[in-house]
Amino acid sequence: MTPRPVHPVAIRAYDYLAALSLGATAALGAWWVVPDALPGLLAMILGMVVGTIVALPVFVLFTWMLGGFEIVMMAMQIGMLAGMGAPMIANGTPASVATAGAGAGLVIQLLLHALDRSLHGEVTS
Amino acid sequence: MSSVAGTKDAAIRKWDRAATTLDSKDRGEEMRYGPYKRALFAGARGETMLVAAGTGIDFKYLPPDLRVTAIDFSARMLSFARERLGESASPIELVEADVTALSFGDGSFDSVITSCTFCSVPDPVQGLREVRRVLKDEGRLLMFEHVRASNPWLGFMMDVMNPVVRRFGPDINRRTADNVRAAGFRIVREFNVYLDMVKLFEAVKA
Repeated sequence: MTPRPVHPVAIRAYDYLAALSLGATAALGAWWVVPDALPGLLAMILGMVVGTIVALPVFVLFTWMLGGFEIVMMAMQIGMLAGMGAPMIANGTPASVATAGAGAGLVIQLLLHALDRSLHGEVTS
Repeated sequence: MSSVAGTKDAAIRKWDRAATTLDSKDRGEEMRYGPYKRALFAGARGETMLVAAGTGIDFKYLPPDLRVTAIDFSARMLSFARERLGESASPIELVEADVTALSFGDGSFDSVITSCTFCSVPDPVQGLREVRRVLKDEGRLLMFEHVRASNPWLGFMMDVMNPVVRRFGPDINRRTADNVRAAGFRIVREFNVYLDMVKLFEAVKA
C-alpha cells in the first residue's frame, strides 16, 4: 500500500502562515509584558512563559483550521523561543519585534519541515 | 510505558464532554490524514473491529466487504456515530464497550482497526492484550496513532505539555510501539506520517 503524497501545497503554505503568526504574536506579547528593568535571564524565562501563553489563541485558531499535531509541535517551540528572545530587543518598535518573532517562527517551522522530510515514510529497523 | 489517563469512569466522562466539539477540532487533521487512513484501512478483511469509533468520523474510510463492529466506551460518542453509519461502504454494528474488558470471544475478528485510540485508553497495554485475544491467530492489527516523538527535545516538550493536554484530550506522549509489543504483537510495518509522532502500524500476533 502506498499512501498519497505527504501534504498538499496549500496546507503546507498555511503551516508557514501559522508559524509566522505564532512567532509575531508570542514576540509582541512577551515584549509588551516583560519589564525592561528585569535582569536578562529572568526576562528570558518570563518571556518564554508569556510567549507561550499569548500564542495560545493563535494556536487554537490554526489547530481548528489545520489540525492539532503539526500546529502543537510548532506552537510549543515558537511560543517559547520567540517569547524568550523578544524581551532582549531593547529599542525595538512593535513592527520590528513582530518581524523578529515571525522570523523566528519561520526558522523553527523550516527546521520542523526538514525534520519531517527526513523522517517521513517507511521505518526500517 | 503506559501513562494512565485516569480511571475508566473519568475517561468516559471526559470523552462524553468532548463528543460535541471533537469533529470541528479534527477537521484539519482529516484534511491531512484522511488518505493515509483510507490506505491503511484497505488492509482490513472480513470480521473487523473498529476500536474507539468516536463520532464515526472514520467510517468513510472503511473499505467495502467488511462486517464491522465499532466499539466505544462513550455512549455520547456512539450517539453521534449512529448518524454516520451511512457513510461506510461496509455494514457497521455499534457496541458500547471498553477495549480493556471486551465481551467478544477469543479469535472473533480477522482485523482490528484503531484510529487515535491508544492515546486515550487509560490502560493501553491491557487494551491491546484484549485486542490480541479477540483477534484470530492470522489476524492483523491496523493502527493510525500519534505517539511520543523520539527526538529528545520534541519528546521532552511533549512530556512537559502532556499534563495540560490530557485534561482536555488524549495523552500526547504515549510509547505505543512499546505497548503494542508488550501486549504480545509483532510490528510488521511502521510508517511515519508526520515526524515520527503520527504513525501507521501494522501488527500480527507474535
